[in-house]
Amino acid sequence: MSALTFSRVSLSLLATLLLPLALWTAEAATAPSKLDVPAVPESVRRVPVLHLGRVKPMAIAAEEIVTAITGYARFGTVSDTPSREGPALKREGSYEPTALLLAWWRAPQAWAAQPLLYAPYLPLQRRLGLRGQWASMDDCRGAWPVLSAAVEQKRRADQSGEVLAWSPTDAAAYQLAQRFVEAQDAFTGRALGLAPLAAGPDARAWLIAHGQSFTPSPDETHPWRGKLVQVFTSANSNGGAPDDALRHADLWLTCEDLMLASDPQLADWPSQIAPMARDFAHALETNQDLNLAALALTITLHDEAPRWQQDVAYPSPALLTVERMYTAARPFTWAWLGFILGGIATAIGLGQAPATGSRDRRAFWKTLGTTLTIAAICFTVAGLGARVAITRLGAVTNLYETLIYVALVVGVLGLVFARVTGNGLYAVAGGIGAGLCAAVGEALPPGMGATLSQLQPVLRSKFWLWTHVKTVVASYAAFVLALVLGNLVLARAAWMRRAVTADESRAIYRALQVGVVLITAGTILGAIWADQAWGRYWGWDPKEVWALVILLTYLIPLHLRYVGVVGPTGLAAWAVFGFMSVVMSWYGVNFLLGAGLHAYAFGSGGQWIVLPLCGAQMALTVVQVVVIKMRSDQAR
Amino acid sequence: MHTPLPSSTSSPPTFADAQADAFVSSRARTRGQSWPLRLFGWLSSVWAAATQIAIVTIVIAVATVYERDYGRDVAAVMIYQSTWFATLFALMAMTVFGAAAVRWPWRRHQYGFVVVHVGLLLSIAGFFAAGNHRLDGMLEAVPGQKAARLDLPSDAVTVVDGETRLASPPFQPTAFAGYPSFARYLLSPMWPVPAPGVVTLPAHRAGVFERLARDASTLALLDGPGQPLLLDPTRRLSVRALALVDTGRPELGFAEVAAGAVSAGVSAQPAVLLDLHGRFPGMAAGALMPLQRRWLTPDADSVAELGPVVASLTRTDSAAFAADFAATNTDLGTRGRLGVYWHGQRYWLDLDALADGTEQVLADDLSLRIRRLVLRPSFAGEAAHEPAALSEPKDSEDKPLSPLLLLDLGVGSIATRQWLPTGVAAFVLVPQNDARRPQLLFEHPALHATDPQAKGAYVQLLLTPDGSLQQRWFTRSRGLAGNVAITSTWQGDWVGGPQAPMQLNASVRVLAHALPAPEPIAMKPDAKDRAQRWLLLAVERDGARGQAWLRRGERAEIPLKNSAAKAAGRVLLAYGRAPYDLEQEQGFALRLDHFEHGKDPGGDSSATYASDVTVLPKDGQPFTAHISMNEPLTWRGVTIYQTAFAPETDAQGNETGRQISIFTVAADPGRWLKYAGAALLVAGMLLLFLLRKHPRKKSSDLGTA
Repeated sequence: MSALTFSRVSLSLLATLLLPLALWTAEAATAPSKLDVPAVPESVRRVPVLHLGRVKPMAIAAEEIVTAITGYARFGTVSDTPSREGPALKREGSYEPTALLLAWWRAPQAWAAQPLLYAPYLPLQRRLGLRGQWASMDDCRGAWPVLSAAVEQKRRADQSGEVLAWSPTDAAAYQLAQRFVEAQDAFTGRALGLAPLAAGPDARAWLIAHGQSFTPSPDETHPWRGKLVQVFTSANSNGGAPDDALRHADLWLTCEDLMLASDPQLADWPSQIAPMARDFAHALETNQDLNLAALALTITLHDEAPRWQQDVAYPSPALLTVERMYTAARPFTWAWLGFILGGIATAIGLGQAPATGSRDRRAFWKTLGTTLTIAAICFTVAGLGARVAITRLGAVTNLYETLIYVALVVGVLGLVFARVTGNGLYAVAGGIGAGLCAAVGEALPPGMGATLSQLQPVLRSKFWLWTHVKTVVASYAAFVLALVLGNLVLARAAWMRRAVTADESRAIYRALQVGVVLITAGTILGAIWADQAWGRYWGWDPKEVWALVILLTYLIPLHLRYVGVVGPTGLAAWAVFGFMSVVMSWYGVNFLLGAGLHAYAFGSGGQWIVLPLCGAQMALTVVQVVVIKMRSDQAR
Repeated sequence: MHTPLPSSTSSPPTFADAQADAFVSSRARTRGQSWPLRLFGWLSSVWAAATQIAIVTIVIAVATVYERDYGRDVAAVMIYQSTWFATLFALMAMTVFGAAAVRWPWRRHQYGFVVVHVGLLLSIAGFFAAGNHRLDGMLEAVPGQKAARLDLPSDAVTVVDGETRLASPPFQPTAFAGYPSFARYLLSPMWPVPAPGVVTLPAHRAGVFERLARDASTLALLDGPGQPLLLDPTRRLSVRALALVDTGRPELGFAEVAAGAVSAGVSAQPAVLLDLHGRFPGMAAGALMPLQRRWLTPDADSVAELGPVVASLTRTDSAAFAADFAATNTDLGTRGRLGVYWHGQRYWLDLDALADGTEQVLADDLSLRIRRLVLRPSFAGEAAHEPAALSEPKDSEDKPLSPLLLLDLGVGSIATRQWLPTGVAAFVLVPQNDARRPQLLFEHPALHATDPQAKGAYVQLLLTPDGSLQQRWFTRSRGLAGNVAITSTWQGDWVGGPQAPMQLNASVRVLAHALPAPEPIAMKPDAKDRAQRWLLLAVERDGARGQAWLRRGERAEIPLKNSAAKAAGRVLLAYGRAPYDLEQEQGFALRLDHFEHGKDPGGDSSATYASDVTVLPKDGQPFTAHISMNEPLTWRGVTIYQTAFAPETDAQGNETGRQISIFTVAADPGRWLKYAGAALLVAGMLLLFLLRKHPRKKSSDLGTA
C-alpha cells in the first residue's frame, strides 16, 4: 500500500470516527460572527510549517506570529472601555494562537478593522490618533506615510552604515511598521511555508516540464515564481543540471499559494498537499468541516514528510512532538522553582543544629534539598536538550540560553562541591544561585532568545559554541556561585557578629579558582576561535576586553591574599564586587556599550533594572562589611 | 540558625597561617641588595602586581566605553596601539618575570606559579614580537580575475606612476586630531569632552589641526630615473565636522567645534573659503588675479581637487548671503527674489516684476536681461526648456528643484546665459572684457523654499582647465543630479583653453562666522573612517619643490617648481590605505571562481558565506580551495579568511548579479608564541590550584564528610 493510498484510507477512517465532532463544530458555527474564533483541533496545531527559516509545528509558529504582532502570546479582541481620559482599549478575549491565526485567514476584512498591532508608545498613539495600545491594520494603512518614513530612514541608515539618530517616536513607528508588515504576511498566509515545491524527483520533473509557464507577471506577488525562473535562468547560464539547481534552490510554497489563493497552475503538481490544502482553505472560507479538512491536511503532510526528507531538511515528527512538548511543558519554570526550593531546603537542613538531637530532621531536609536540586537539574537538562535537538546548536546562543545554562552549571557545581568537600553551604548557594539565574532567564522579554531561532553564519560552528562559549559561561556560573556564597557568608557573619571564618572563605576561594581557570581557558579558546574565523587572535573587541577584565578583577584578590591585605571577609566582599565585572561582560557589553549601535532593538533595555540591582547589591555588601568590621572591633 | 556550620568545628589553619610560611615578599628577598636589585624587587612585589592589574583593568574597561563613544579606529589609535599602553604591558611583563625570578630556586609547590608566569611572558612577548611582521589586510576578489592587492589597515602616501606603484613610504597614522586622549577622557566626568562631530551654532572656537613632526616624516625615495624625491608631510588634518573660525591667518582653517551653546534648529555649515588666483598668458610673471572663491566643505562632492579639475563651488558664499538664503523660508512664500551681487553691492529683483525680455540696468557696468523666465512646478515633460543634459530627476522628492530661470547677464558687449534653478543658491560666472574678473555672484533664492529638499540642493560650477564650465546639480538626497556642460557660452570670451594653459594658485581664507546650513554634519561612532583627512605634503626633487593638500583616498598631482619658479615636472601622489602586493611579497595570488551566499530554508537569514577560489602560486601549479566562515585557507603561513561580500557593479554602477568576495589575509608570526603562552597559562593555573604545599589532608579540615 503506498503512502498515498494509505493517507486516503486513514482519512476516510478518521472522517467516520470524527463525524460527531465535525457535526458539533458545524452546529456551533451556525451563526458565526465574523470575529468568531472557533477552536482548532490539535492536529492542525501539529502541522509542520516553515516559519523564519525553521520548520516547526504550526502552533509554535502561530504563537510567535501572534506575539510579534500583538505583543501577547494569547490575544483576541479588544474593546473600548470608557475611562477618565476618554475611551481606551482593553484586551477582551484571549484565544489559542493557532485558532486566532485561522480566524484571521477566514475573515481578513473583518479583522483588519480590529486593533491588533501592538503600539505601546504613548506619543506614537497620540500621533496616529489611536485609542490605546493597539492599532488596527486600517489604522496603519491610514498612517502609512508616518510609518514608511521611519522605515525609509532606517533603510538609508543601514545602507550608508551610519548610526540612526531618530526619536523614540520614530523608533516606535518603525516597530509598528514592522508589525504591520508581519501582520500582512500573517493575514495572507505568506508568513508560513507549507511545503517544499521541488522536494521529490517527480515534483522536480514536473517543474522542469512546466517551468516555462511560470514566468510571473509584474503585478504578481507569488515569490516562488520569480525565484523559480531565476533558478532556471542561472542553471541555463552556468550549464548546470536544472534538477540539481532545483534541489538546492530551496523553494517553498506558502500557505497563501496553497490554501488561500489556490493557484490553478499548480493543479497537477504531483503532491497530495495541494488539493488537501485547497480543501482546507475551502473549509476555512465556508466555516465547514474545519476539523476534517485540517485532519486531511495533517495526514497528508505527515505522510508526505518521509518523501521530502530525502532532499529537504525536514524535522521528523518525533522532533516536532519534542518541540510541542518543550513549549507546553515549560521545563525552565519548574527548574527555577526546584532550584530555589532545593537551596532553601538544604539551608533549613544546615540550620538544624546537631546538638538538639534532630539529626534525622536534618538529614530529611538535606535529602529533600538535594532531590529538588537534582530534579531541577533534570528539568534544565531536558529543556536544553530539547533546544539542542531542535536547533542543532549548542544552546548557548543568546542571553536567555546562557542564563539557563549558567543555572544548570551553578546547580551542578554546588552539588558537586558540596559532595566533594562535605560543605553544605555549596549546595545552598548552588540552589539559590541557579534558581535566580533561571528565574531571570524566564523573566526576560520573549525577544531576547526564548524563541528558537537561527544564528548568524560566523556563530554556526558547533565545535566552538560547545567549547569556547560553554567554558566562558561555565566560568560565569562559578562566579555566580561565589557571589551567592559571598552574600550568604557575609550575611551570616554580620548576623552572628563575627568575622568571616577561614572555612567559609575557603569555600569562596574554591569557587573563584574554578571560575578563574575557566574564564582563562574560555577567553583563550575564544581567541583561538577568533584566530580561526577572523584572522586575529586578539583584537581588543569589547567582549574580549571584558572577559579579560573579569579575569583581572578576580586576580587582584588572589594576589593580595599573599600580603594579607585581603582576608576572609575581604575575599567574600570581593566575590560580590567582582561579580559586577561579570554583569558588565555578560549583559553590559551587549546592552549598554552596544546601545548606540542598536538604537531601536533591546539595546538600551533593562538598565533600569540591572543597574539599581547592582547598586543595591554593592550597598548591601558595604553595609555588611562595615557591620562585620565594627562588631569584630568591639569584640576585640 | 545561629550555630556555626559543622564544617568549622575543627580548627583548620587560618588564611594567614596557610600562606605566611610559604610567602616571602620580593622586597624582603632583595632587602640589603644594591639599588637596581631593590628596585627590581619592588617592581616584582605583589603590591606592584596588584596595582598594575588594577590599572590595566580600569584602563581597558574605560577603553571600551571610549570605543563606544568614538569608534573602533579611534580607540585603536588612541589607546590600544599607543606607546603608553604598550609600556603598561612591558611593565607588567617585568613584574611577571621578576615575581618568578626573584623566587629562584623554585620549590615544588611553586611550579604552577612559575608556569603561569612563563605563559604570561610568552603571551605578552607574542604581542610584541608580532608587531612589525604581522600581515593583516583586506583582499577584494572579483569573480574570474586575479586578486593580489591587499589594503592594509594603515595609511600610506604612495608615489604613483600611472597605475604602477613606484614606492610607498610608510606613513604612520598619529593621533586623530580632535579626539580626546585617554587621560582627557578620564577627566570627562568633571570636564566634559565636546560631543564628537556634532556641530552647533555659534561655533567659532578652536584649535587648528596638528602639525606632523617634520624630521620624522621626511622621506627620501627614488622616483623615476634615480632622482631622490623628498616627501615631507608637514601637516595633517582630520575633519569630522567643522565650523569655520577666523584665525586671521591665510591658511586652511578647519577647526574643531565646541559643543554646547545650541541655537535651535540651526547648525553650522562646515566650509572653507578657497580663493583661486590665476595668471594668464600675457600677464607679468608673479602677478596673479583673483579668479574665483569657493567654499569647500567636508562633503565629498564639494571639495576642490587641485588636479585636472580646478575647483568647485558649494552651497553658500557669505554669512549675509546665507542668512538671506535661510530667511526666504519665511518672508517669500512661494514667490521669489533674484539677488545679484556685483562688486560687493546687492541688487534685489522681485520675480513678479520680471518677464521674458525684461531689461534692467543694475549698475553702470552691469545690465540684466531676462531672456526667458520659466517658472514651472516640475521638470516633467518640459525637457525642451531645460538645459540639455539636465535630465529629469528620478525621485519625485527632487522635483522642487525644478522651476528654472533662464537669464542673460550682460556686461558691456559680453553676455552670458545661464539657467538658474530655484530653491538653491547658484553662481554665475561672468567674464569681463577688461579685467577678466569673473566676480559676479548670482543668487536665486527659493520659490519653494518651504520644501526642505529644495533647501538642501546646490549647484556647482566647475571650471576646467580646457576653459569649459561644468555646472553640476546636487541634491541632498541623491547626490549628483545632473551635469551640464556650458562650454559654448564661454567660447571666445574666456582666456584659457588647451592652447593657453593657465596657472592656478589656491589660497585659503576662513570665514568670520559659522554659516547656517540646511543640515548638521555629524560623524558618529562607526562612521569615523569616513571622516576626511587631508595631508599637506611638500615634495622636493632635484631642487624643485611643490606642495599640496592631499585628501585621503585620492590622488593628486603636485607640480614642482625650481628655484626660478619655473615648472619642473610633476609628481603624482596617492594618500590612502597602504597597498600590499600579495604576489610580490608572498609569491601567490588568488582568483575567485564562485561566491556562495547560503540561506536558511525559506528564509532570508544567512546561513553560510563561502568562496571557491583558485590559488595561483608564482612558482607552482594552481589549485582550487574552498573558503568559508570558520574554515579559512592557510597557504605558506598566510591565512585567508572569508570576511564579507559585496555586489559586483559594472562601469555604469549597475549590479551585475555576481558577488565580489572580500577576504581578510593575515599572517602572524607571533601566533605560536601566543598559543604556547596560552597553553602554559592554563596548565600553570591548574597546577597552581591543584598542587598543594602540604599533602592533601583528609576532609577533616573542610568539615564533616
